[in-house]
Amino acid sequence: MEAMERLSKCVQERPAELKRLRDGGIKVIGIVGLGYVPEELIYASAAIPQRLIKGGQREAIDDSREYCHGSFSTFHKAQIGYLLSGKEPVYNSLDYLVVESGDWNSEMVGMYVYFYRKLPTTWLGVPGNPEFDGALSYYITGLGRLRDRLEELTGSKASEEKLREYITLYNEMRDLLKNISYLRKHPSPPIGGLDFIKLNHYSFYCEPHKYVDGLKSVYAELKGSEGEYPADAPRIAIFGCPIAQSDYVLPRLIEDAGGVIVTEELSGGIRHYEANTKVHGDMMGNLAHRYYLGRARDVYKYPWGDELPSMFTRLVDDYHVDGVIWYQLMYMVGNSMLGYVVSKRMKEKGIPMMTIQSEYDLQGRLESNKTRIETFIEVVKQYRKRR
Amino acid sequence: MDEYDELLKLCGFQPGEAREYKPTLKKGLDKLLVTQDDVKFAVKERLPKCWSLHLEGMRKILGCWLREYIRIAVPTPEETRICHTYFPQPGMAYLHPIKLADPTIQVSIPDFIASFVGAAFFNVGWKYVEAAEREGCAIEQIGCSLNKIRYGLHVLGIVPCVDASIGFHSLCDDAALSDQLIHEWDGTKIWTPYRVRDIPFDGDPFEEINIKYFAASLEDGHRKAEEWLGIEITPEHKNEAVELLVELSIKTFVPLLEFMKADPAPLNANDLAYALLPIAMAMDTGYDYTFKAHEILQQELRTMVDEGKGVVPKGTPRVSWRILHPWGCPWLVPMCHELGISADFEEGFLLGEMQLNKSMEIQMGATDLYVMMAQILAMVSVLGTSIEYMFRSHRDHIRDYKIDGLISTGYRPCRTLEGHSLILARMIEDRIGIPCITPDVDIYIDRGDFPKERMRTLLETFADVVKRSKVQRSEQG
Ligand code: SF4
Repeated sequence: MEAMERLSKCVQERPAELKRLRDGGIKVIGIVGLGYVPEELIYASAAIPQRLIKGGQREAIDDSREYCHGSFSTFHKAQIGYLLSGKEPVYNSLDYLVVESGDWNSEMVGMYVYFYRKLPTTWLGVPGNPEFDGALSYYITGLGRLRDRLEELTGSKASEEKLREYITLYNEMRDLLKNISYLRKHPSPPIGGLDFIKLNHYSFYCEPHKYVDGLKSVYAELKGSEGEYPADAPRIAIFGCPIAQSDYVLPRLIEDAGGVIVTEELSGGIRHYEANTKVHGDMMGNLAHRYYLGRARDVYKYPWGDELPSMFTRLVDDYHVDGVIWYQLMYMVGNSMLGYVVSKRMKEKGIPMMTIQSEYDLQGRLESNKTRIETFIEVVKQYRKRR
Repeated sequence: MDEYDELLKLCGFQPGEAREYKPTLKKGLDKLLVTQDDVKFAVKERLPKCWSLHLEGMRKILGCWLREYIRIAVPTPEETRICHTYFPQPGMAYLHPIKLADPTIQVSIPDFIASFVGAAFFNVGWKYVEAAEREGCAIEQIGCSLNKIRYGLHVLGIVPCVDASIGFHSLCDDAALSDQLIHEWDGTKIWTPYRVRDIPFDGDPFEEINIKYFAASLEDGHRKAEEWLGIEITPEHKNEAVELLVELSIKTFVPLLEFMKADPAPLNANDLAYALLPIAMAMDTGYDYTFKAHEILQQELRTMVDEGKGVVPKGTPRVSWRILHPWGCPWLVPMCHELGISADFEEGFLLGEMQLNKSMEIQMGATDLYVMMAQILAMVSVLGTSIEYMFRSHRDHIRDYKIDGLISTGYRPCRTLEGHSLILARMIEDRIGIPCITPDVDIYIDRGDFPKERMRTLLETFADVVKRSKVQRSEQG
């Protein structure tokens, strides 16, 4: 896929791109969290958002040890490692940090970085009780304060027009991602999960106009193409913790073993593409609705009720999933509890589910993981046959 | 006299009272999985070694807690519904109005009680924890044992499906998450008042919008309780709870902390925690026992202080536990005494000048129960949201209580508290210059595999450093 290859370059080119922008006086805003900070707002304020989404490397975990303790979530430990070790060019290029205050791990990344690197930081309040009357307005107030800080930083106003322009662009981006993802509902999908996750991650590294253009080409190529995966390939869903950019061992192993990943719900580890933002009326209010209430619920919104567990069963139905792999990063306790609840639901549905735990050490245990996944794919095939 | 009689005696029960209570005690302990051997262990070893049982007031205070523990398993015949919350919700202010609205509702903070009594007195906390680990609290993910205890009590059927569990998301995600498992397990109705933790590192923890949101969210929790329990919490109930809180503060909290300024301090860390914490708990058995016990205790303490007596010799270096002292491993306190340090202070309870002024301001100006609760929580030095404010509180404690060293409890399963701890320990060492350590120790239970000898070696080294540093600082004036 040519278009996909072109997009993939944005990851390597990002450090140079950020340097060029910063040399031109543009501020780069790092984002820590699960996708509650609207990038549209940052662009509209004439700054550049950089979602901190890299992971998968053991070295980053080792680098974090000097600053934080071992039972901190694997993904967030890696963020601390990248942010404080000085080894990661993109993470070195930040002028400001926005941290979501909605899960404790993200909040603490902000605290550590503020303490050790003195990087100016704002914590954006993301209330964990969305059913409570005042929750949305608290989030809106936080967004307003964030806009003020950004405007102060850049000296540029995030006008309604600019917001609308970027909201429209991001809507288009999400529509394209959705269309591409939906192609995986076909019996013989033209794209698998590994490529889809990578493609999704490129959106955090690429200038959005360029990215949308690239996505259009990818979609055009895929739409007309033959299925890449045979109709009898076991259809796998990956659920659980974030799969970070460059943490691709698991999806690769699944697809190498003959499965095809047809859907994923990774707790903010990829860009959510289902819901769009309204483009009429008050833009800040629209962004708040989309980013706080419109997106998929996560483990840190209480009480889960049935909404959260049933989101997984719905995905299994919609994408005709044969088997589920739960990706469990070490010390993400909430996801681990959710995994337990989801495993009970899958059992009721007769869908096999397996948990793979990682502290970014899958590569080091490649053979045993390979065997486990191959065995699981075989089990899924049996189930499928029986069904 | 069997071990149950002995237990009641050590817990300050009068003979007649003990006779009457014994059947309830046995029934409750059975249900709570406390065996006769566990009771024997408590009366022969744990209680006499770890608490100042020569003080009648202290014995009676332990009795208050024992009653609460038993109550979880043996409700009164009138109690037909249950309302829970979880630690560190200031349960007194929150659950007491519910109790006042309808005394037939049992109110409790079961995770806390089962740890504070079950784990600390009888060392049975691990039984609840293991039950939780079998049912979804994956051991390798290292969740905190307090939450596991709460869930484990449900898994074991000790606590039945609860009519209203009005939780409390203040500083950690894991507590609220555990309630989701409880709901999945037995259909317990859960609701989660929420504090947003978006105060910057050096921000103002009393920021109006943040406090207001938290307060409104707490009020929303009460609305849910009203709906689910079919009660009405009136302004009178809330006022009465505020008045009780102020009374507890004036009659128990403040005087005890004053006594702790004496050298030597008259109580050890275990004593202090048990004597102070009724103010934060929902005592379903009421507060009369607490007040009576305190009256006796304070007279005894006055005599001790006047006579210059304490739990250690005068001049012993004074060490404070950041976060909480690990009451699940209460033997750590006498171990510190053996090593020549008085680790009898606990940051979470101490009130320095800045906090004392603030708490007076809050209590005097209290027009709304929920705003008051939100403000008090923002003020508590281990539960707060602004790290810089927490540091300033610690600095005051170190000055006012003449603290020579800090054990910043590094409880690995609690990402929340340990996360702050590491930063604060460094700030205190750098800016104040007193020694700090961050040992990994379970606050809430004593697991059989706990490396006691390693802990002793660590504390031994630390004790030497503290002693040397105290001498050096006094030489430098
Ligand atoms: S000990 Fe830590 S993880 Fe456990 S309930 Fe308290 S704050 Fe949460």
